[in-house]
Amino acid sequence: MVKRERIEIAGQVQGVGFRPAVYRLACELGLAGTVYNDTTGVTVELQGSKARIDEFVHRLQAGADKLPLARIRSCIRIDIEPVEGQEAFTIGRSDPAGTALSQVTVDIATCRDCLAELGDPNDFRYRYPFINCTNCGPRYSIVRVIPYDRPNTTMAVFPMCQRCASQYADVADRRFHAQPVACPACGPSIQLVDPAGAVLQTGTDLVLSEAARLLREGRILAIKGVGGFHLAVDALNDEAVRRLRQRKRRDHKPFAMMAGSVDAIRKYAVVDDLARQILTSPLAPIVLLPKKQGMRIAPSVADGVNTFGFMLCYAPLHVLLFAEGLDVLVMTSANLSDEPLICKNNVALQRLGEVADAFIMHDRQIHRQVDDSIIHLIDGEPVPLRRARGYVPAPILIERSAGPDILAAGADLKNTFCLVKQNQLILSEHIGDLEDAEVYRHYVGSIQHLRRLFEVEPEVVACDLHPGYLSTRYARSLSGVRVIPVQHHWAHIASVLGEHGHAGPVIGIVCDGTGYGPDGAIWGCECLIASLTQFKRFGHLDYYPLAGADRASKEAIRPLLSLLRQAHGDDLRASDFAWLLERIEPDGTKLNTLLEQIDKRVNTVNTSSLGRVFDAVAAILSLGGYNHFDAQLPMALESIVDPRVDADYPFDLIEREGEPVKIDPRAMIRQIAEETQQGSDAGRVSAKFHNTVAEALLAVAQAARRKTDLEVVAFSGGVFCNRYLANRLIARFKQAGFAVLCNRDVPANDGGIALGQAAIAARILDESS
Amino acid sequence: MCLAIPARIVELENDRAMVDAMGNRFKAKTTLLPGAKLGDVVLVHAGFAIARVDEEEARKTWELFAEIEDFEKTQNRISG
Amino acid sequence: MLDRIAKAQQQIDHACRTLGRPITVMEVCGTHTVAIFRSGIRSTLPEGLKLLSGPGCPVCVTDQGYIDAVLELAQRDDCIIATYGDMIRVPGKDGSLETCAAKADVRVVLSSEDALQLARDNADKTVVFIAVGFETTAPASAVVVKEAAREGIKNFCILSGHKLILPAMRALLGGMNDRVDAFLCPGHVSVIIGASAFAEIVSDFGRPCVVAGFEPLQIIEALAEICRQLSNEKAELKSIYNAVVTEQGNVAAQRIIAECFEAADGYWRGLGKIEKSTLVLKEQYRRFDAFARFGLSDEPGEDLSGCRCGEVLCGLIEPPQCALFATRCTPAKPIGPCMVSSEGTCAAWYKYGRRS
Repeated sequence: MVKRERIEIAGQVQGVGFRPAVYRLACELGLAGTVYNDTTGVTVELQGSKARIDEFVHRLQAGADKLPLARIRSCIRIDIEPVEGQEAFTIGRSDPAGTALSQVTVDIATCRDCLAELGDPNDFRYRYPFINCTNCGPRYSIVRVIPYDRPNTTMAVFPMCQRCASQYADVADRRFHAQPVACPACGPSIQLVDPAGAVLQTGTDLVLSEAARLLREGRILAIKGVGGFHLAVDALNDEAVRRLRQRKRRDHKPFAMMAGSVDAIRKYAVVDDLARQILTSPLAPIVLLPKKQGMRIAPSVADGVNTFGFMLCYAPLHVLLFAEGLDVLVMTSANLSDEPLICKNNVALQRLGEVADAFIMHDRQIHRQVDDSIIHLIDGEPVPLRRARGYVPAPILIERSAGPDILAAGADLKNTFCLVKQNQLILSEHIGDLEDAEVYRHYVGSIQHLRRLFEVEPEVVACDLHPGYLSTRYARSLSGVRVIPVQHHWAHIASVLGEHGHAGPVIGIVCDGTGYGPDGAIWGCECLIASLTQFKRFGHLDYYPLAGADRASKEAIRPLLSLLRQAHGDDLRASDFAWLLERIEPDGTKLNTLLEQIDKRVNTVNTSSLGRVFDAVAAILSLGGYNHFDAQLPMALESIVDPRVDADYPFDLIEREGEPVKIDPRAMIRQIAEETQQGSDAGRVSAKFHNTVAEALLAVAQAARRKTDLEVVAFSGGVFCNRYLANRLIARFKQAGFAVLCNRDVPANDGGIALGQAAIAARILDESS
Repeated sequence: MCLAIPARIVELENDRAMVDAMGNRFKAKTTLLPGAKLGDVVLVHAGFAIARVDEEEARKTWELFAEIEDFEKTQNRISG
Repeated sequence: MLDRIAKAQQQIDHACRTLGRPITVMEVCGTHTVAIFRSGIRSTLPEGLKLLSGPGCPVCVTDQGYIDAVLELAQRDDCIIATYGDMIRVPGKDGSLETCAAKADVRVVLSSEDALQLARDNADKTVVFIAVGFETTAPASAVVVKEAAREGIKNFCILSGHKLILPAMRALLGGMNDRVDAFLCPGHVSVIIGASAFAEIVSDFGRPCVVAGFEPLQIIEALAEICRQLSNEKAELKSIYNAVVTEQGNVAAQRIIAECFEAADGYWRGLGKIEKSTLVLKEQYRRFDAFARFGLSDEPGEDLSGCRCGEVLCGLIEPPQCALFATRCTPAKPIGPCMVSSEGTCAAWYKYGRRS
């Protein structure tokens, strides 16, 4: 008996070779019908015997893992009327009607098959810098609107030639319905251009050999890739790297690097098996790897940290460039300070005309700029520090059946935002620091773009409690929405809960540099008993006053003076500590002014910030007195840790009835200063400091466990981007019998706040309905 | 300014017309507007009527032109 | 009307604020260039919206080689040069039509018909009609060529410099050039080719295209529509000049162009060689082609020294960025066509745009 069914498949099923796979399976089983993309995903109509249709569905769901990027979330089968005389199976054109729950897939690094063709002189895509197929290539970065079809991408302007078109139509071909398919005859091309825009070279071979020559000479090149432009320079040439830093206006941050192979990376950094797997994954992120001693990477590349950020070539253009005999290049995002990543040719010439000596450009327009993702390893797991290319826009699924759409505005530093549609949390890519006007405009525009791509109409907006946050002000400026303000550190814990599908309550340990506290203080080292609907503050680092809140996050002298005063009380005289203070703040008048402000509580705010304590300790150990970029001093402090040291400093827990438990760092601060004055090894002091932090947090958690009987601990907050601390904490907590949850899909820093806000808002809405 | 001028057909023989714009009369051909009739307001460019124009639009343009003193000179220039 | 303008301005401001990136709109019509300047719209636009002038002035985009050919013809004793007014002051290597008027016989005509009449009235000379213009003006040349053919007039020919605007728009968007986000489409060219002609720009390049007239309200409402589309990430073709422009355009005019002309590769000042972008007379009308009759070269010529009209025409620089602007190149003593033509960007800037 001939049956016909419509099967609606939702999930990550567009742009991953799904329709061709369906086609092949249907033909194999002798079924008639059609398959097409629409805005909910993929719809298949099958006509044939019930047994065959059942087999089709079973094999499709079971075999979906053969398509490395497909993820079927749901498969709804509906009986419909058979169509007379339909014998064949066809791939239909995409149907733009229907509700929107579709997923545009992530940008994928060049696959092994394409790499082989790239290097095969008999292949007509030999040395073609834009080779891609059903299983790899640009996606999110080139899609203008859904559904995912060539005319809706920036490839619309390149009509396929005969050869590409026939592969596109050939069911047996790996390029069957590969939307960005192209070849040297019909697709984009590269050019080498000077800062005035004049063409220096055309043609792949000439462009690349000239570019490689310039790089070997120590010149700076701007290279347009998949998600945007990179600035590249020879990583072994210190003078060139320093020149790049100078021209890039600030830039003290460590530079990421690219190499052509894992073996190349192994010359400079330690690559264990897990790291190798991540480096070679379709994500192709930047991975933080321990530096090797005595290697030749220019010291200016990553000064003040003990890791190198390396990625492998992920675009065919990179592969070809490195094949010119390049070893390792700095490949840092092309922007000036914190601007959004540059992805348009004319903007690159405008903004980078004085930075780059030459530009490799191409004419496949990047519609959506996407930064490289950064991953580091914590407790044997890959954890993102920055979530962007390769992650976005794949959603994180939570337990939720229905409910209004939600926008979570995120935080102001390292912003990401999050859209919630039904049970999908769609996290944006890394946006940046909103205080930069251009980044802010990019933020607003990005919200519009993702809203449209996923057809999300938020009725509810979650945001940080901080009234001064631009993200909060944006949230409050939207009309016709309900605003749910979420305390910063609670959002951090909620991001862990959301990721792990754990509703709470848990013991939440959150440590970062700054977050608005509902009591008017700046929180930053907290123990919260938290669930997705509420939290209670169980404990925190004892408050110390911070003078000049804005500058306090940059000038280490400020928290240092406060902590010394707190540790020594009235006995503190600046003169006693002249040996220490003068080095950090030579201006004696300023020192006295600050001390007065602290004592008189003038222009000060109470804080429990652990991040500022890191700043202070780093300053004591002569690592610097100023954060040129966020967490520069804490990163430096981590980099000098002597991992063989197991000792720690004394500290106290202040437990008073009716008050949160407080960690008292006074003894620790006194000892650190003393040991430093006596010439103790800085690596040892740093290790002991880190170990003390771990012990103190453990002590609070144990007190919380005694009180609440909770066994599960969730960690989050920017301080836990400190690998040494995170690993130590996890080990100690597990030893003490706790179950430990950490961020895995989103960063522990403020890039994960939006997820927490979204999870909280979704749960609050669920429970109230 | 606007180098195609609306004008009303006040005389017409085959495709040779006399048109009037704000009281100024000049010759134009209607070869490119086969259906043009006496009384129609048309857009004239380089001596040819190229489109029919509604009265309202014509009036607006004439008012704009009235602001420009060198209307005479516009006849000399080519556009589009 | 004032509140319609205010509303459009609000829409523009709002879109620019929410879009998160700057917008660059290009117009490709000399009449728009002047209208925008006269109305002072630029100064009311928010910082995030940049309005570029493109290759919209047909005299300006005429390659220097063509100018040289015109001046070469002007030297001949047996020719009368019949031209639209704007061309006479465009400078070549040794002066312009205006300056050589002492020796040459140069007549300014208002219409191609007047040029043909000159041929009828001067049997002993060959009248060369300098046929410059976009699709709006090309039909006028086609009509007289057909007339000349019908009447058997032998002493008439045209030097065709007619250009097609769509290939230029494509050239502005293609390749490494991603500067332009949307087009303000020409009002009068659209009368001939129809608003729907711009659909390919929308579908191939994903850029909004809005056909507008020349009043300030039209222009600002067109910009508001463009901003609205961009902030909704749409790219659509819209015409708001419906009083005059239809979807199909003037079919009679299109037919007559197709009858007499075919598209060939040509050189544009500033844009270089663009495929199928200029009109040449078809085989059966070749006898009216001045290039053929006089063996003139249609190769590109060299721009005059220091002249940056080419960059101005692509919107790469604004006139004040040219060192010659308002110093050695002025309307009284122009060096490049952009300053000569009444629709030239430099002339408009000079007349309306100079600020302290």
